Amino acid sequence: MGIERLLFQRPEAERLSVERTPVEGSCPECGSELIARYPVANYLGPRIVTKCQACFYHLSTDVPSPEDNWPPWRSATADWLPSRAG
Amino acid sequence: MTTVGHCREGEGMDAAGYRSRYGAEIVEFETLRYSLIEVARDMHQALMRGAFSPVVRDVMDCTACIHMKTAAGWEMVASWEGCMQHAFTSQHICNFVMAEWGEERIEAGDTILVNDPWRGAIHCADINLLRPILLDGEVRFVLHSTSHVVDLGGPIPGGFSNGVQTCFEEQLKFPPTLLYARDIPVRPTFNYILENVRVPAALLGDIRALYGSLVIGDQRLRDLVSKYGLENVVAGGHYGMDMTEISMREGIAGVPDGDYRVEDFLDDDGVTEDPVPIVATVKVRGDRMEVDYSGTGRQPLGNVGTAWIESTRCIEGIKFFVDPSSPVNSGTLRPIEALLPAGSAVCVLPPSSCSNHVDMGGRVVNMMTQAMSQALPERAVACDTGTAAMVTIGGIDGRPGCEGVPWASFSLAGGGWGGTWREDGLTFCILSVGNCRTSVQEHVERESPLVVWQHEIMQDSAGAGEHRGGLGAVYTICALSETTVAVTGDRARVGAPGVQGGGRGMPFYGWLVPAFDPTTDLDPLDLHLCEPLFGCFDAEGCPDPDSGQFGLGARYQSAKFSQFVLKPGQALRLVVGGGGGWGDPLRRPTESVLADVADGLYSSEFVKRACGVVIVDDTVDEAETTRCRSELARLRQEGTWTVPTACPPRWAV
Repeated sequence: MGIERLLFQRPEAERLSVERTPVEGSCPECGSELIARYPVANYLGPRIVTKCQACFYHLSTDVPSPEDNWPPWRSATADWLPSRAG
Repeated sequence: MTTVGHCREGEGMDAAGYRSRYGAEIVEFETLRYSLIEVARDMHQALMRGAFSPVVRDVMDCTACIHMKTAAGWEMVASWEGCMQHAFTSQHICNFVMAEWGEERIEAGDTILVNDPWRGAIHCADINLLRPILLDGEVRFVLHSTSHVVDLGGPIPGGFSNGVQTCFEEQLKFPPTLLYARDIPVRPTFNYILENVRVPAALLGDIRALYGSLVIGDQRLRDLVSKYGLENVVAGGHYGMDMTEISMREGIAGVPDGDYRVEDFLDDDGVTEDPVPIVATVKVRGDRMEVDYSGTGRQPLGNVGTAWIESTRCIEGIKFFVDPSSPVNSGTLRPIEALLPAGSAVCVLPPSSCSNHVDMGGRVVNMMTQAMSQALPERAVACDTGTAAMVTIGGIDGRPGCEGVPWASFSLAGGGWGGTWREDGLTFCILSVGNCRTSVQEHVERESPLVVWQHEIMQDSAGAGEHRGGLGAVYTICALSETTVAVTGDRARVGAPGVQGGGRGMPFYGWLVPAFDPTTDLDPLDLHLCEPLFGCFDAEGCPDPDSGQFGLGARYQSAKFSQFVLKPGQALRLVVGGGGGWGDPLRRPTESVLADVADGLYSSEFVKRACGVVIVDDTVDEAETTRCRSELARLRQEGTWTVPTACPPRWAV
């Protein structure tokens, strides 16, 4: 219905971290095989990046899909047709 | 045109290179770059002149920005602050709104209102107006004006809803909402605001000033396009961003590669007494950087977390070191990415309360400077006061001729910045995320039923060091009518830390003076008739940040509270602490210490305790000083002496 991402419970864990998911491949710039994919806030807003962890070269920078849950909250009307008033 | 977001090829370009890349001469692009900044300045000046509330007119808690459509998204080409943090958060607000709005439905003169923290706004009290600018039938620019407003409804006046747990208990929260349609006010939006706030006259004036600022910007930008052509103005915008990005990357490349981890905390969240831990690891790889907040505590129960803004607000603290002088635009943000753990104190999830953003912002910027101080110890900087010591006040005026008039205001008394490798810290200054001015006290006394009896530098409040911290303030206001007060503060449990051996600044303290008499009650060291509200006290009621107990004998166990009522004739006194010291205070030149005492910044008793300097008859006793310093150094070596936290040694209770 679109309202699933409006309200959240407070997390149970005392400390929280961002998970960097290892990805197969090598960095075109430095050759390292330490590649990871994870959610960031870059200069434009929320993005999912695939980056070399040795030199921070970007192999890709993607606008999050709804399934990425990044950020967790999402407008209930994000997929509705816009009106003249938004 | 260069690839947006990775502008490194510009280094070492000659005039021919600039002409080739941007399509015109470098002189023209420097002109365009600063012309866009002038448009933003014009917008800001119009806002300052047009606003009704003292928050804008006097305190300068407002900013104007210009965003341009690029291949990547919406990027800020120019800003004029105002409140510093607005310049760092504006770009995300614009991108969130424009991604959601439906650009194809926009018409000339449309103006969008948003204040939702989950769409990049700082907090609900900072309202944002966005005006898309259509050129050649397409939205090419978005102008942004923003200011804090003194009240936006909700159960607690003023916007700092200390003690609440959900956003439902806070102020009106607007997702992107049409405010003007083709320059015609949208009546339902205006009615919803004006019928749900305590000071509708001030709000209406401020909203119109924010809107007028955008209209001015619209005209000035179109004039610029008429004069130079759209293509050249766009190229000028790219040039300005690229130049800033080059400067930032050059500075980042000068930081040694590595991971620099800092952990700090907020005193509490205003609901429980538990500290709120914050972790940030600054990772440097060449000219690229990440700020990873992994390890931060989960979102607090109270209102001290933030929803999104630490993603870019932190960059201010980094910029101090890597590129202090370039104008802020998208180029400032391009080299740095942030990792925000969802559900942490820096990425709270709805419906969490997040109205108190100031302490988190101040802390995060300090953490960035501490990380940079690890990376570049020769340029270390101590922490600032660590709190904005925000006071939000309001009520119904009872003065003759003003009976029944609702009023609201807020006050920033100022603190001290940390000592640096080069010099003493700035004194009497708001946190760096603010850059705001203090109120004009004559205006306060005319527009509000208050008397500002005292706003002075607080002696002995600066952290000791070879370069001492900046000093904080003592601020005393007396109510003439019943006044509701919210105090939003932090660093009340421990003062701002020093660096490289420097001492802590004085923490934050507050008292109620129940029957204020200006002929006898202006000495902040005389506590006879004062009730402690918050702070670290000894058993006798004297401030003692090193050996006392936080909250001992005090009304509150937090420096964040609201709905505190000042009756007529009662006064609130706040002491805002100073910045941390840099370096060993036993090495501070004695002539500097003598000047501190002569200027009333330190007492002779404190400088003996903290710096080992003995002053007799307004002169340094060099022999005794040498002896005293040797003794303190010996005790420090033994582990029985540390630099004391700044605090006046003697109080009358």
